Amino acid sequence: MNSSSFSPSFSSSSSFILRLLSLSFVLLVLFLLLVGCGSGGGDTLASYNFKQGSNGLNMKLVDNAPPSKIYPQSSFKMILELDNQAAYDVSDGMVKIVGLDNNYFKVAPLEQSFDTLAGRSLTSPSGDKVYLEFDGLSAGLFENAQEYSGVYFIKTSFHSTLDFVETVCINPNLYAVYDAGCKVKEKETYSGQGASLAVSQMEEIMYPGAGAGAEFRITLRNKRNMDSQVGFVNLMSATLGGEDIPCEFQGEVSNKRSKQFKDQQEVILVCKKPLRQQSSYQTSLALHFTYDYSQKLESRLLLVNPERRAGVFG
Amino acid sequence: MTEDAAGGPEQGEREEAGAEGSGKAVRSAISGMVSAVKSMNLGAAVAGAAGGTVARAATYTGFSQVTDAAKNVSFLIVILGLVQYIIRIYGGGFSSYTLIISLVLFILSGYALAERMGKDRVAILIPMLLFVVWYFVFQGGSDPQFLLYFGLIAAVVIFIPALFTKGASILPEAVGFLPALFLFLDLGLLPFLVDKLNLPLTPAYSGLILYMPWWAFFGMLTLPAEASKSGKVNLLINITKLAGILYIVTILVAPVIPNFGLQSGILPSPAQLEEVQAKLREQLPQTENPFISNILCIDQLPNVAECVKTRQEESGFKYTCTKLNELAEGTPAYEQCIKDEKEKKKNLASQVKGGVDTTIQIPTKAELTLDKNSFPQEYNPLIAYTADFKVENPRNQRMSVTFSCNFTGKSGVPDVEGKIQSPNSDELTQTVEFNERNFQSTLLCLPTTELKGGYTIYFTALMQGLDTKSRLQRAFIGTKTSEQKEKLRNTEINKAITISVSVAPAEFARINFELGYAKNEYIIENKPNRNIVLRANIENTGRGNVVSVRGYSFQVDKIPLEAAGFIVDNPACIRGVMLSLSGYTGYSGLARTIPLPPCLITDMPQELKEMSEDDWERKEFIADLQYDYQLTSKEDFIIPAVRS
Repeated sequence: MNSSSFSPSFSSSSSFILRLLSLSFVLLVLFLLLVGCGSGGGDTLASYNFKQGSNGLNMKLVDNAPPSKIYPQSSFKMILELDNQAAYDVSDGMVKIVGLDNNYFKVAPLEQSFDTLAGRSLTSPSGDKVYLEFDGLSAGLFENAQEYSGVYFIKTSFHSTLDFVETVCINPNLYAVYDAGCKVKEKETYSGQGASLAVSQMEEIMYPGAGAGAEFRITLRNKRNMDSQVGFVNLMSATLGGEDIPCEFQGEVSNKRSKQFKDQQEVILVCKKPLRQQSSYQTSLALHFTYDYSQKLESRLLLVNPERRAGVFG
Repeated sequence: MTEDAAGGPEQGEREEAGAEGSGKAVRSAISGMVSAVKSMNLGAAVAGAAGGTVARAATYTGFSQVTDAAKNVSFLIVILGLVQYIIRIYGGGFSSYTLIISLVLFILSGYALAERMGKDRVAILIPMLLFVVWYFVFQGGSDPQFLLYFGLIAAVVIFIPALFTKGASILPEAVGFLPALFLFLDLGLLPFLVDKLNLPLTPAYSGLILYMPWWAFFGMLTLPAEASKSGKVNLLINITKLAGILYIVTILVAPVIPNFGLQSGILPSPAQLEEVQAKLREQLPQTENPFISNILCIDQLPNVAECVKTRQEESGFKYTCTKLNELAEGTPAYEQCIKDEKEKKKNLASQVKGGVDTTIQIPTKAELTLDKNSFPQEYNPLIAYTADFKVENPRNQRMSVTFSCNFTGKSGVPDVEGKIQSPNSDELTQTVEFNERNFQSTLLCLPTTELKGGYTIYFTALMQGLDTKSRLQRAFIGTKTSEQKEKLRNTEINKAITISVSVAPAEFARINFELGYAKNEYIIENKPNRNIVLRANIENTGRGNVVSVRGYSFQVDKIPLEAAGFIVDNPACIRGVMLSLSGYTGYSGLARTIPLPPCLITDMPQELKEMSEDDWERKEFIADLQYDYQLTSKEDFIIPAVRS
């Protein structure tokens, strides 16, 4: 009897405990799984260095916008995708369409600005993307021509930044055989700092003796193809071990912290600093640049005679 | 197979054939050919074909060294190739003779290549045979399914010998495609590609189309350095080679061969290829063969280039006066014609050249043809002389055509007026109006009085209300430094400006025009101190006559030039009418080039003057020509006197 009276309450409490245990087990497994996955040797999002490589602002026309063939007196859309794959924000962006012939295609607007596009970072790992729409209207073909093919260019210009931070060895005591300190690397090359403009090479030259000093020759290079161009580059800050280091672009006379690339693909920045201590030590060199950049996309609009589709032209 | 080894049995056959009587000559010749083909030796073919009473001995003794050279198949290909080329040039294009010779040369070329190969030479025949089967038996079938099957079979056929010879036959098999390529080239592959794929007709192309004897070239390529033991024969062969190379270098004025990989699925028949070749030949300026010009100018060293240029120009004038204006050389009219042509050449506006708009594949065309076979054999007032008039009017232009005919008597026979029969009119002429895409009409011409003797019948069709537009693109860049300009030219404008020389559909006449600082300069800057010149001419590109110019005008963005903001110093330059062209006609009454007044563009729209650093604008200019054009067809005939 007792057992029978006890039994229901016992069974209900034990089933509750069992449920609680199973839930705890599942949660534990999930927790272990999460922790296990996160503690591997691979890069976590948190530790991923976005400021590497030479990705920039990618631009492309969306498939079928514009369509591969356009018929006379028809409307169409051109949609440009701008995808910031750089590790820095892109601002003051402007897109311009150049080279279209009004006789065949009228596109509006021919210029569009776009908002700041955030670069890839921990908070925005894929970078910002924007789509710009241009409305097009085709006119007629010349006489009874079969087609008209018009090459045009989409030109994009924007403003962006670049950071370069590197640990360097300062060792003015070059003749100290028994100095167990760091070794100066005379030349170092880099794949990029996460932007189309990159510090591609740095040479370090030490001047020993009484007037000891360190000189850094830094090569800034446009890493994209010839369809892009760097405008003005400005050195905003340069520090060696937390202290300012004087720098100047080679060949500049007036404003030595600013340089226009023109048609060049690379420029050289030289930073020099006198040294107070004679022993070797490691410290960080940090440079911060701003620059203007322009790039273009070549495309083609094809206006075709609809009768050609019907086989009139054979 | 060495020459000696092959020589044994041939000689035996030749002697045997030579011993036969004259009545067996043909049989002997055929036997010689057959044995030659069997033994794959051309020496036997030559000997066999020449069999009979003409005596074999002559083949071996009379022509000793020449025939020694002729034994070499390549040398024979050179000779036969030149003969075929001359027949084609002077025999009026496609004929069954040229095709037969082409096919013979095709076979000979296979043999010539086989002679140059080492082992497995028979493999050369495989691709040749495959080509013959595909092109002639299956008529170049291009159906994908057929091509798949045929390709698979061909691959197997090509692969099997390669398998048995451990790959040694691959080279001869690959080489075997060369005769097929040369056959195509000879029949007119290049003109066909130019015509159908709208390839630009570069000077190099023109040279190849007009002056290239492809088979002779092939023979020259395969000529061995030492074909014979005789030094003289080898010298002869090497001179031929050298002459051939010189010839090719000479005709290729600008060695720029355009890109071929454009479209696929073009499978013309031999007749089609030859037809296009003949058509293009007609369109190209007929000047002296540059090779001949070079040879004849050798004594002018060091001014050979100038001499060649002069000869080429003069031969062009001669062609215009003799062929187009039908003047006899040496007559005062001919001399005057040459003088006038030279004057025209000096006129800046006349020098403006234009081209054919290849995007317009169906231009407005008209044809007036007479069928001499349908002409009455004796005078009958009720039996008319007929002609066919056909118009392709792809833009549905409204035009009016007036037909007329007359009989011009020859050798003192008086002229007779003709009447075009019309259901609703008693007038001598007939006028029809239409705007159909295709218009055809058969014309019936009756003489107004009795015909007796020799006549030339003239049918004319005067087409009124024709309109042909030319166009030209220019890039306006505003104010830029020369570095900026060149950068834009090289990276953008070069790709975007596709019509830097004015083009028009291949119709009866067109306006050729240039606009800019200099000839062929398609970039226009904002530089007030430089002259922007517009110069133009009307060119009669058809076979008839420009009777009057109802109007010419220039537009940009589909509005008149002045309205668009382009100011000129001479309004007659951009708009005008020329109802009488008597001052421009040649001696046969044809107006070939009519210069239009040139002018300076003194101002242009503001938006084309000011642009940002990387900005530029493309503009398309249109020249509109409205005109009347007359086609004439004629035929000679004789009406015998009526027997009483």
